Amino acid sequence: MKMKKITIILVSVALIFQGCEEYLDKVQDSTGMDEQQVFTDYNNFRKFEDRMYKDMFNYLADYDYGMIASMCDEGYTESAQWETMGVVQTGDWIRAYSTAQALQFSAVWDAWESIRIANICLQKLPMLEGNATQQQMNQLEGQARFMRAWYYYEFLIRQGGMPYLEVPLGGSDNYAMPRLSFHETALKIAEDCDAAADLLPEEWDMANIGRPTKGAAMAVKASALLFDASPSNNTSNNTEYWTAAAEAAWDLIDYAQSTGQYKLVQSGGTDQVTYRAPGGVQTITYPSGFDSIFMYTPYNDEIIWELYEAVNSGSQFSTFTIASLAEGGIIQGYSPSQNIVDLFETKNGLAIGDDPEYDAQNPYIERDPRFYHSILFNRERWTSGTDLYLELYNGGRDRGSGDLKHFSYTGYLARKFWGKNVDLWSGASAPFTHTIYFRYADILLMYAEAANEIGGPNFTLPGATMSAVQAVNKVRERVEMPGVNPMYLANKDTFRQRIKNERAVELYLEGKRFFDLSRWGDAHKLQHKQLYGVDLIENPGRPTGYNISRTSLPVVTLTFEQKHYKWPIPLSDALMFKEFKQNPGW
Amino acid sequence: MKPDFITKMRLHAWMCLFILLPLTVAGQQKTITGKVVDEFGETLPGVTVVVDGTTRGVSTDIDGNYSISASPGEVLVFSSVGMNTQKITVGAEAVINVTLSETTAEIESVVVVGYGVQKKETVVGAVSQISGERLKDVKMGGAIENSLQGVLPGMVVLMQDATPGEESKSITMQIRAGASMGNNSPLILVDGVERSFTNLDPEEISSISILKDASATAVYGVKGANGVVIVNTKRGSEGALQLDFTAETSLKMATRLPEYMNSYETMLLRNEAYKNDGKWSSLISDEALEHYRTGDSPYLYPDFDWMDFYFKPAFDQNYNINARGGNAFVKYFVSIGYLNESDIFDVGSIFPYKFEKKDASYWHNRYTFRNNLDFNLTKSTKLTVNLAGNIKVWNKPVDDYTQEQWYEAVTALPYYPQEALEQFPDDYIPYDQDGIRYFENPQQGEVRLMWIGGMGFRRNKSNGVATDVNLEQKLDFITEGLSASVFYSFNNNNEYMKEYPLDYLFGYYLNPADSTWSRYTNWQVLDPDTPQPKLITSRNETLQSAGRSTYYKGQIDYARSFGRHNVTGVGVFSRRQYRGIFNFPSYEENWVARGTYNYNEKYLFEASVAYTGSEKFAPGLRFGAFPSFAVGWVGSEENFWKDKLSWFNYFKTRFSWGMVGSDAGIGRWLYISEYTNSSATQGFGYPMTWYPSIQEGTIPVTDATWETAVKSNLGFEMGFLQNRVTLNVDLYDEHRKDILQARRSVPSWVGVASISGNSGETKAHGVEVELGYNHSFSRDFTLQLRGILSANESRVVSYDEPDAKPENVSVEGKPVGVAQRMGYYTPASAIQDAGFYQSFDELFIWPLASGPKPIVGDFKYIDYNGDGVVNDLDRIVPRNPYVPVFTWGANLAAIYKNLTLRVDFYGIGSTTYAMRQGGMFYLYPFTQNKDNAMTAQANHWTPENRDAEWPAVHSMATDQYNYLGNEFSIVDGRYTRLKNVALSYKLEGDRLQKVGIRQMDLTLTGTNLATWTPFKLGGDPEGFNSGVDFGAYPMMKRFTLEVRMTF
Repeated sequence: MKMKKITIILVSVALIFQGCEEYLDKVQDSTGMDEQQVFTDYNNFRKFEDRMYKDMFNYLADYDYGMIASMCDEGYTESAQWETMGVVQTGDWIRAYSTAQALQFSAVWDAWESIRIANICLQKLPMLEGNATQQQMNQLEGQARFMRAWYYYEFLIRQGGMPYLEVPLGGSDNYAMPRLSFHETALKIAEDCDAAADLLPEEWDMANIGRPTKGAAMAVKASALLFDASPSNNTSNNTEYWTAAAEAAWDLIDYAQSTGQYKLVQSGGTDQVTYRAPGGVQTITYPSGFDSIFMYTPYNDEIIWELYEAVNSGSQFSTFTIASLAEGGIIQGYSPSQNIVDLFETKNGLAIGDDPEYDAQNPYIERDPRFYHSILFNRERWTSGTDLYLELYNGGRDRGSGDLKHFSYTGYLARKFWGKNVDLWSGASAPFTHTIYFRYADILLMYAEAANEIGGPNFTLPGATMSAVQAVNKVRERVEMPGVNPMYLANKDTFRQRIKNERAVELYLEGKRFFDLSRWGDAHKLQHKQLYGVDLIENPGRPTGYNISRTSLPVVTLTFEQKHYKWPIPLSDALMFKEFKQNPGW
Repeated sequence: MKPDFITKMRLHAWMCLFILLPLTVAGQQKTITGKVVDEFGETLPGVTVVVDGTTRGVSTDIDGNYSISASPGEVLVFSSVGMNTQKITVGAEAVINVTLSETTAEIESVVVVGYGVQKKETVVGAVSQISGERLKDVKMGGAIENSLQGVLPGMVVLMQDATPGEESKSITMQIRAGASMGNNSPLILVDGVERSFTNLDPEEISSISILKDASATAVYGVKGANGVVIVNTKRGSEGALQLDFTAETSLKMATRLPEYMNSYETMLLRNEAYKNDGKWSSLISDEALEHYRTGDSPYLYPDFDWMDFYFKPAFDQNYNINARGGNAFVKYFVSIGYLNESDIFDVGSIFPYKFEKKDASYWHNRYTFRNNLDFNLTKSTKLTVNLAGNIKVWNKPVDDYTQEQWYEAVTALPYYPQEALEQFPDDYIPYDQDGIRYFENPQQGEVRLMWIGGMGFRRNKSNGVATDVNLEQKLDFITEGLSASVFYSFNNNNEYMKEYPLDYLFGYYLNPADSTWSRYTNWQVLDPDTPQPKLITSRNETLQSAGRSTYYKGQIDYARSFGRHNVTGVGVFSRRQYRGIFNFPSYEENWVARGTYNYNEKYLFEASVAYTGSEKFAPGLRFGAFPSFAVGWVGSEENFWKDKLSWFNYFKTRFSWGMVGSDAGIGRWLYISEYTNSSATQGFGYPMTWYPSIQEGTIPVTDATWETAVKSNLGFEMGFLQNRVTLNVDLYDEHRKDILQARRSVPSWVGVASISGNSGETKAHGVEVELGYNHSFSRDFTLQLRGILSANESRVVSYDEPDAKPENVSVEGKPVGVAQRMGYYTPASAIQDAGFYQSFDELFIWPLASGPKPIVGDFKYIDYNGDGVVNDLDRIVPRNPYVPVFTWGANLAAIYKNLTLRVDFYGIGSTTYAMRQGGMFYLYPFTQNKDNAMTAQANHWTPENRDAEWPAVHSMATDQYNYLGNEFSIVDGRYTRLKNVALSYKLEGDRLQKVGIRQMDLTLTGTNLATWTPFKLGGDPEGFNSGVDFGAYPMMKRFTLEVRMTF
């Protein structure tokens, strides 16, 4: 009896004891997928790959108001609201990475995650073989190679050369790797772009519009090579670099012309601005159309590569919000500088200092039409028919003073990206705007710049059908500006100045100027660091009713030293490996 | 064979029947009589006298006399609760008189170790133990863990937040150095099963042991490396019913509160701050200041002490009734407890919704129940059944984010006159958060007041059930000393929460321009007659957490003596499954073997091995073997020792070495990488389509495994002067490897947030000293003194830190606790300062940090790396970790007749704490909705007070040069505390007997009576992070009156 009990106990114990590994051999029931499920199915593959678009940087995003435009001479943003702004203006760019709203810094640097996604896709693509059409495979590969190039381009123009990863790093790989030079990285980007251009479609169907195209790949290549050829990065002024840049730009122009894929949005009709002067309300009429480059649904012919996901500024009307027109809920106004205002030529195609007809006391008439598209000046009315005129004069309602921080500091406000007749009173909702990375006009100017460096204003790249100056004039024609005045075509130096000027006004607030000044090696110069406004003192005897003069002191003096030409690597990465070097000066 | 067994069985059965009867088996036995007295000659009734190895036993009568039958050569064992057991071998004599000495509370004859108990003399591992009686002396409200502070050498307990009902959520327990950068929590076992002891009533606890070295913990394999806490509950004993009733009530209040300036002083300081910042237009006029000073316009220029208003003493209550007793068949221990904790914030009286205790105050009710039964089914079969449970209900305000109540109550205090508030028909005292606008906007001078608890409240409930069944069979018929047991345990815990919010914030608004009041919400200003918002009572109760564990175990024990050779062996197989309701269950499996051998309890040997597995790791890496070895020598048992060293009565030395593992805090499925659906990213197409996306999982760590600790321990146990003085010293060393952590050298270009690896390595060592003195000077007067001291040091050997990281910001070579903190939001490193800028010239000499510019009187920061600027590269890591390097406790007990006085001190040393967000909430006046200043801040830098403690004042915390995560915000956390003073009086005698009370104890206890700390701002230094800078419910000081009756 007892024995039986013991036997039972022993047997049951033995039963319990057997198969111990099995007891632990359990894996979570999961909603997840394994590699096979993801990469052998076209839809899943695409879903995985699409995540690489998440780090595309939106220059017009709410939380990056005017950041890049306030890091150079385009204008001023008050720093109290954005911690990052003050840090950037004082030049402490390492600290900028760790501040709130440090998007230009941290968000762009975070794009490594998307590069990883692209690399995983390129690595896993063979798994899809047989489960997708060749066209689908090409699209996936093309997009991955393009986006890898794109993010490296974003790093290139900021921090410079990087280790060019072409496979995803594993959990135990050696991460200590040296940085490639600027030139090497640019060539890698160009190589990826070439491959992508062959793989990507010229145009996507309507369901996929906004994805990168052949033209986008060509544009990124052209820009990367232009940066590579520019003085800051091409210190020995190697003409071959310029040639490469010019060829890349021409390839795209040639492609655009031969296929009609891209063209400039032409002027259509006229626009008016009205302003109040001692003699009564005045009207300026100028060619319309320029603003429609920026407000479109779903596309226009000029856009080559953009952050397609449109930004509807909603109640904010524009990224560069004008406070007085949208009372309440406005936290940030952007103040264009006098420096930039002075770059807009007169209607005669002359710099203001070169045009005898220009009256410094009546400076806002007879200017380049793009001036009216880009800048709001004192006493201008720009609302939906209300009788409100901007008070940007000293002491005016819309002029920054005292505690009223969110108004203009310079005497100007930004108009670009602002839909017509959209304001607090009209009730109209803001139009969609897009962050445009490349448009056709930019490419023309890129070609012109490179061609001029090779052979001067009238140089035509072998095989091309357009000279440098012709390319610039095409851009000017669109806004009905006369061609570049012959007085500026004496040599490549004089023409270079006009190209720089043309880029400044054509691409104003489009996130280009900061990087242009930087690649030209101009950014540290005082004229680009000291931002002035305009003093407007009431004087009914003057044509505008005000004495107009540049402010005696700069509104802000930006810090830009030699080290700022290459952005710092965040400390956490810069301090990790001896092989991976910090940029000089940081 | 078979008949033999049956015969034996029957014999056992017969023996069971006769167990209560005095055995008078004939033979060579004779009757032995005698008297048992104590050291002072007093007779001892109720002493158990048993013939060793038999079931023959008697008790002494009221006069201490006994009579028992025994043969010469047999051993009589005299034992009684509280007395040292004595053994006497029967010789020729017929009368044996015995004197028993009292045991001291600290010296237990039996020590609880893993999977069993060992005689104290034969323990070779490092184990400390305290009795449940001792635990009850310290009154800690709902936080029983905190009662362990300063009583167990080698254990640190830190409490951060005393929120009633949730105390244990903020408690950190650590045994020895805390050698892991990951999780250092010890394994906690209650009656052998992994579960929490937070909700045990102190009356239920028999003893708490902590196992510290590898010899003691290796049997827990992959869970043992952080040490083990074993809590055993009380069990019944054979005898008449003993009923204990305890009633306790505590008056409680915050230990230390910050002190604030009055409104005039505040306004003066505020003006100074605004002047320093050049905000001239924001100054308060001299006229207004004069009003503040004189108090002639208390509505507009008020002065009101909110601290005084908000904090009130509160009462806690605690009741327990328990019964124990039993007979030969069954022994029982039954306990029922009730705990009620109330609130020291005066919230309830101002919260308008007073129905069914539905107010926004903090309170906690807990009911505990336990029934421990032992059945002797047969002579050799024992069935143990434990059934225990608790039900808790507690309440707190909705806006409890890091104890916002407390923060708001003490930071945004805008001195407001109570009379003004009394105008309100509702009779509620409104409470401010954004407060008095004349701080921000003097022209408008509006006052906004908001209720504390103005967002409603939360009702939490939890229940826990624990059921254990153990069947133990003696297998002496196979071989003597063998037994086997099967154990099953089921545990279930659920926590629920129901919210009763207000749909919006609600308060009052005063427009001083016309002195009219209106109500306001967080959205808008309302008419004063607007009805109060309704309390939303329709929310569903939600399950907050749930845990269910099952555990089963088979165990074989062997214990036998062969002459002077004593051998024991334990073999265990166990499995545990734990399931949180929202999680996939986790599994573990253990195979354990331990053997001990000693020769005459003089030369001691022990070896154990655990083969344990955890499902957290990849197949093939799940099981590991953890061996340990230990030796001991009881020198005082040697004859030469006994001959020569009469003053040195006890000496034992022991040494252990072993390997233990820890999978605590290590995530599961690290070896698997899976892809999951992710949110849509970029939109494409017209009309816009947001394409769904799939996300890569973390990079798999296919070789992830547990941490391994190699530990060694050298211990000495000594007794001097008839063991009146005892000294125990333990020295230990630990080398922990394969600490799983997020790798620190994963650069951005890998493109993943983090990669884990078993790359951490640390070393630790330490010492524990326990010095005791215990002497009864007479029958009436006994003195017990005990001091314990633990010191631990740990260093990070490897942290996978990048090579290029400068020494001053790297943690390798620094204490583990410092490494653990690196990377939290709270700055764990700091910039050093060299005092304050004393002159204008210095402003140009010292390297600057970017951001706001300093003024004279601000901190001068040290450019540690000499690169000309002060930035993150100049940071240094703090010297000491948060969990103190050094803890000590001193316990004194003086017993005079029926009066007992106990005094306990506790202290911690060498600890630093980084304040929340660089001390923003605490160190700087006028910051983050904090419109007041502390009294201590009067000692700030001014040209007249250059040797100040605080820098010059500014109007904003984060916008000033001083706020840079500097040393100033890393504070010295050491303190010394008069933890407990208890005076108790024992009543007994005929009068009480007549009403059925055997004994009655009256005790008055003061807890946390005084604290000494270098930190000057006020607030309690314990749990520094959240306690002192308003993140948590304050620590309590208590006065407790306890009545205890034994029937």
